[in-house]
Amino acid sequence: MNHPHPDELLLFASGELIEPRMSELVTHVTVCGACRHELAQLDQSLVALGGGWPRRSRRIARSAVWGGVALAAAAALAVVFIRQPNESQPARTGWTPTTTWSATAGYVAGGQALADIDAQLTRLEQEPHYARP
Amino acid sequence: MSQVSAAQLLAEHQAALQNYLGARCRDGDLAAELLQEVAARLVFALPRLSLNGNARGYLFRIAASVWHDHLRRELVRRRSAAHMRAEPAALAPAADAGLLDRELQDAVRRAIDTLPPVQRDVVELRQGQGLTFQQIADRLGRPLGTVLTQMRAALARIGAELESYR
Repeated sequence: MNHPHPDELLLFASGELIEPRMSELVTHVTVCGACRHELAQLDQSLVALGGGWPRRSRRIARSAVWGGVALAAAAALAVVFIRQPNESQPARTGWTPTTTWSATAGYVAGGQALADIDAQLTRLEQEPHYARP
Repeated sequence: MSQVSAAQLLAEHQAALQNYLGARCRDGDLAAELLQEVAARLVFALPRLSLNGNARGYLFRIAASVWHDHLRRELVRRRSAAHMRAEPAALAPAADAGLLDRELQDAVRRAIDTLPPVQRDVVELRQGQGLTFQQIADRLGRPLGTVLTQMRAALARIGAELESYR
């Protein structure tokens, strides 16, 4: 295979190259030192650009997520309190509470998926190279 | 889309993604680790996504982003380690890393400010709005090749500006 055009390398570095060229370039850059070098140069600039760009949108996204989690937690707690039987009234026999308080109520928003991601992030944060000098 | 669908998507494209990440990092263990991060991001994002039949393209964009995030962490780590060697009594590591991050941001901002407007438009849409290059081409009414050339020129300028940072 001939060396890819620099535009294709940029698309490759950005994960935007479409098949079958993506697979062809995967094979090519594995064996071509010159293209790997060019790709590394592109990566460095893309990384610097990404790292140097103001992170307003990321903060908004994160706060939106945690805002959603907090809302869900509040909703879950509200359900618990609303559904608790009034002590002045006799409790109905045979009724099983459908909602119980949970320390992980915040996961209601994302369910098991959010719990899994949290575990994954915790694991990443414990690794020596993660966001540490 | 359900979590089962995310698992199906990953199962379908896992080999291609692992090959892509492997070609980038040339380390099987690291590629597997990065693939885990791709999976985590997919699971997290999928409920809010409309893939329009382009799941594969989306997965590769996540993979590229995961790889670049890994490189950025490594860049800051190396730079910070070099600072610590040069100045053992410098700031605490976490604070130092933040400072270096800000240095990088300032340097990039300066580089972007020097770009010609046609290149800056592309960079702004790419970084600020997260558009694909094809979407940028459509938005600006320029051929895709022109947009890619302008982005490469911008990256070359930014790369030159950051020589001292590396």
